[in-house]
This record gives sequence, structure tokens and C-alpha cells, in this order.
Amino acid sequence: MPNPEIAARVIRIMKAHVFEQRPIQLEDTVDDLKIDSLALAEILFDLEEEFDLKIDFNANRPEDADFQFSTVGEAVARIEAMLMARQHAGAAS
Amino acid sequence: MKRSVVVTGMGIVSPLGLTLGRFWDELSAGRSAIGPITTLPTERLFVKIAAEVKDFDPSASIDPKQLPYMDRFAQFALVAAIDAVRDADLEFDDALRARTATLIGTGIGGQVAQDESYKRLYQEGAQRFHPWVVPRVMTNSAASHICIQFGLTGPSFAIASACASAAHAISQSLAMIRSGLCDVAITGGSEACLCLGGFKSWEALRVLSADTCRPFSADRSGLVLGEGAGVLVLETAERARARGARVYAELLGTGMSSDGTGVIHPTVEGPTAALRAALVDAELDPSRIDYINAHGTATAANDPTETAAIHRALGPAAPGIFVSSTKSMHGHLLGASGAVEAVATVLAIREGIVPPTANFTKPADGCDLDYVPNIARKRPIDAALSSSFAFGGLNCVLAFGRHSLTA
Repeated sequence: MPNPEIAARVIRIMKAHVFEQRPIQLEDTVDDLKIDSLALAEILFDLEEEFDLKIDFNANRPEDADFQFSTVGEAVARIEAMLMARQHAGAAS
Repeated sequence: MKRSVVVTGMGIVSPLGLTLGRFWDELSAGRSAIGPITTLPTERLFVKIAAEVKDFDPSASIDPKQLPYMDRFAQFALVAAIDAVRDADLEFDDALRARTATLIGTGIGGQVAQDESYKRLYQEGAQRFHPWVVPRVMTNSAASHICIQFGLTGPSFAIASACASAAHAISQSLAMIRSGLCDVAITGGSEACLCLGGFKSWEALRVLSADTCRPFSADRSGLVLGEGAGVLVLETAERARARGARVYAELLGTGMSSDGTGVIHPTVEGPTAALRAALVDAELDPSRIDYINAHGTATAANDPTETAAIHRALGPAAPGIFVSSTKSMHGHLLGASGAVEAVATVLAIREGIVPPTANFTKPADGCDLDYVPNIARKRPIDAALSSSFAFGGLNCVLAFGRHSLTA
């Protein structure tokens, strides 16, 4: 199960870039939410700022990006994994 | 009857070299100037490559009394203009000074000076700025310093349309010479965007390549920023003939359009309209075009869109046209790119050699034209187009032709 606190923060960011005024679910897809490449650039920036992370993403090669997600839940899972990796890196040093 | 306008002088400050000869040697050999950044601290950069101008010494040609007023972009423009005027063998008297227009495009203007002053203010807590921050930063300073250098008293201003700035400046110069508002124009563009703030702004768009610039190629990964300036001397063909000037090429026409849709994503329709308008203005059938110096940024947004626009505008002639992006070698010079690429186009016409698209492996999806991969090709060029398509959806295409055909 995704961490509800992280899920809420990711959903709040997504909501700011989605025009449809309806609740966002973890199962919603990028297509459902009509997230285009411009909205994605802003979402990635907001996620980086919110969680103090660096997300590698080149708009010319989206298929190469580490940060792949087709649903909101997958984005939450990626963020959780990145935060976990950072924590481990911190603990190891 | 339109007045014919010809190119009689050119000057360049580019990542590929500081002289026309060097620039052309590198371009025609397909050598790229893209490499690791050396002029900026790179610890805070995620992308660490660019096409930098190397070994540029402004004090070699600029009056030391003028230098304190000049940002790097104005220095580039003035040095390119001094070289262009010398190349044109132009001698000014007061009458000509009043009949010469000076129009220089730039995307942003004095970014380096702005970046440095803001760093002092916000990071270092400085209480005061150098007195010449405003004159260094202002977009018109490149044009102004060229006027000051030669005592020019005709119309002069900056033109800004992001990556189409220089092409728009050259277009406006053509229109002003044709209309009789002036007889000579010193025109082109300049950009010095390789400061930390400028670079980070481009990084944030997530369109920069960390590898190299591979326009129209399947493994392209984005654009590479460049810096520099290009300046052309334009004058009426009649005047050039009367003074026995060497003529590089004729500026046959221009086409301009705006997408009127979005700021970032290009359309097919906007560039198509600009390409068509250039052909109409130059009175050229598509079958007359031998070469197109493409906008060719190596982005997913540009390359297929531009290819589709070339198909639409040039129709059945498109597959037979050589299309190359010299940005693969000199990088994307933003507000200067239209001028540097105009110089490349004019030299291609003069030499009968098409510079290649460097770093090309195999064509990307939606990219099915002849992009002259990696190796220059000989081809007599009667007429050529040079395209610039800007953020903001502003497009400008220049049409050049071999002068002997029209003289």
C-alpha cells in the first residue's frame, strides 16, 4: 500500500495541473487526467521541489527516463522508492 | 518593381571559429564545436556540454573606452560587424551613414551582465551595482555599439523573437531597403546565453542534450546551446554594382508567420506558412530550391514538425532538396542562429557545397528527407532557404539565391 501522506502530496501536485475538477485516484492514468508534455514538465518540477529530489527526464527521450509512470499510483511508488534510496544512502554514509 | 538586395559582406563570431574562412572549413568538414563547458562552473549543472566561442579577445578590435559599456553579446555583435564591414569593403561618408540601417536581433540581450549583477545582489549581498549594468543589459546595445563604431545615423533598433530574432532582423532590413527607407543595412543577430542563470533556465525545459546535437537522427536527445554572432552587410544590387562590390548572393525574399497557438510546441501550419510566404516573396517555384538550412534543433518537438512543413510547403520537390541542420556543429545560437545560419547558407551557395548534418546515425520517425548526413556534398545551389522557428510560435524563413542568375 502506498504511504498515504506521500500519496496525498503527489495527488495535490497533480491536481494543480489537471483541468478536470474531480477527485484524483491512484488508479487514474496520465491519459485519463489529460497530462500532456507541458503539464508533465511542471509536475516533475513540483515533485522535485516538494520532495527535494532530482528527477532525470529529457523530454526528447521520455522512454529513457528513470521516472516512468502511467498511473498516479505508479508516480507515488517511484517517489517512495527515491525517498527510500536517499534514506539508505544517508544511513550508509 | 522590388529593389534587388544583395549580400556584400559577412562577419562571424562562432563556436566553429572567429573568421568566415575557419567557420566554413569546419562546417564543410562536418566538424562539431560541441564539447564540455569551460567558461562556467559546472558543479551545479546537470547538462555539461555547449558550443562555446573560444579564444575571443574583444580588446583586439574594440576600443577599450567602449568595452566597459558592453555585455559579451554586444562584443560578439560589434566584432562580427567590424569584420562584415571590412569584408564588404564599405567606406562610409556622412550621406551613407544616414542611409544605413543597423538592425540586430537578440533573444534576451545582456544576460551575462544581468546574471553577474544579480549574483552580486542576491548571493553576495552587494549594496551597489556597476554604473553600466543598464547599458550592458539592454537588448539594443549591440545595434547601438555598431552605430557608435561607424558613426551611423540611420534607423537602428533591436529585434526580439527568441530563436528567430536574427532572421527577423534580416527580413526587416530587406523590407526597409526595398521600400527605400535605407540603401544599406548592417544586420544579423547575437546571443551570449552561457551564464549560469541562462543555462539553468534552458535545463529546466528538459530539452537539452547531455550527449551531442543530432538533428533528425533517431538517437537525437535534444538541443545544445551555443553562443556567438553573425552580421551581414546588405545593400541594393544597383549600389553594389556601381561601387564594384563583390556580391556573395542575393537575398531574394522572406516569409514570416506566427503559429497563434502555444508558446512551446511548434505547429506544422506556422512553419509551412512561412516557407510558402518566402517562396512567394522570392518568386521561386519549389523546384528551384536546392538547399534548406533547417531550423533542425534535434528536439522531438521540432524535427518531425519541420519535416512535415517542408513536405507541405515544397510538395513534390521536397525529397530532392538537400536539408541540413548546421546546429549539429555550431549549436543553437538562439537569437543569433538565424544570422549564423544565413552566413552558412550564403557560403554554401557561393562554394557550391552543402554543409552536412553532423552526428547523424539513422533517420528518426517522421524524418524522411535528405538530411545530408555527416559528409558535405557538392551541388551547384541556385536558391536556398534558411529557416528559424522560435518559441512563442514566431517563424521566419529567408530565401537566398546565386547572384549571377539574377544580375
